Amino acid sequence: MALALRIIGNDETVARHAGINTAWTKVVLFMTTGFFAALVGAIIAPRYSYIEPNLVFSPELSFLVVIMALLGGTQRLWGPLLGVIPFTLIWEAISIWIPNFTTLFLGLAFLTIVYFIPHGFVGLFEKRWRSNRPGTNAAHPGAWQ
Amino acid sequence: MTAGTGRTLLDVQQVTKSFGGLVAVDALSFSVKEQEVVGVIGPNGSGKTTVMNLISGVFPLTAGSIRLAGRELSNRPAHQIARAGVARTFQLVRVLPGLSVIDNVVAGAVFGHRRRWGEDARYHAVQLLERVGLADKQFQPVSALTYIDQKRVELARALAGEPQVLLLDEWLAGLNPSELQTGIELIESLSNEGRTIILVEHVMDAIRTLCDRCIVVNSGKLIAEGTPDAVLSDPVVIAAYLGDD
Repeated sequence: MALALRIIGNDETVARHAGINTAWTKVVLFMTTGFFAALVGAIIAPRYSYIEPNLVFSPELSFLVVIMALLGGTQRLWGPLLGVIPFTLIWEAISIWIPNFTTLFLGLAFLTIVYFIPHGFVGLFEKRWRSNRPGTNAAHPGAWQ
Repeated sequence: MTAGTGRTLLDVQQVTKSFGGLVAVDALSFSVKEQEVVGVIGPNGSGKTTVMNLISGVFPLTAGSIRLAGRELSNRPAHQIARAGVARTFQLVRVLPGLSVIDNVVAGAVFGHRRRWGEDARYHAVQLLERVGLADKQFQPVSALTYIDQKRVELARALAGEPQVLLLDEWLAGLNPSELQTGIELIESLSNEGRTIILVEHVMDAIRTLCDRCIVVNSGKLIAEGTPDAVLSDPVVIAAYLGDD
């Protein structure tokens, strides 16, 4: 399944002609990830006394999720975890000190990440790890780029 | 060169494909026997690649039928056709840029006609890379490879599923003369192993050396069929390529 997804991510036409049922694979992927989102939602919802579309689908919240994932690194399973912890700490601090500028901070954070650490913390670590062990370079071409 | 064993493997009957008003392939019929190498030639835009796309299931047929060893392939999705035993390479090389050379080949082995998993797939991939002459480059990223090596990766990936029929869409195009020679030798050795191959090609030397039989397509219609020499001296074929006087 992981290999199938990597192939689809690289070239869907090749995937299809290699014998992968791309439609079905993607449905399964969205179902599993959607399952976890639903699970989290079910846990979170009772903590608010009420939920309404504006609260849940606010642009700020959607943006936050994307930034957390980007900061951690999107190509490894544990990447987003690495992103969530520091970002939540900074986010809380900012909203207490300068609550009016949270949106500005969000935008700046997004730009910084995209420009300077496009592969997130995970990408940084892997780069550092690889340059410390030059011999393994060829054996682990690693990230998708 | 090997002659076919006589049993029909791939049977294309009255296949028609039209895109809107344009008829790209018009009631085309031919068949390919086991262990046969068949060349598909024709002027530019005559529908050769479309024939390949129809066999491999890129898009559905407008009419007609394609059978592989008696099994209906027409109008099935591409992945089912691949599993049934039709593997292909692409006219413009398509490798998986994010994967290493060996993973590219493993990709073909894991999901292909004869499926392999884990170590088995990996071992099989290494053998195929040796076969196409890339054994020393198996851990490199494909982006570091030259054009002919990328083509080799693509061929190894297509072979990895042990297909019953191999479709090569201008696999030899864009190679320089010495690479061309190696390319022809490689395909020849595959055919000596008894593989069934359909190749679309513009390189006439290759057609002459490799093919048992040739079909010539012009404007989506079959205009000639036979041994390469006979076909290439057919006045109808010459007229199609060079125009009537």
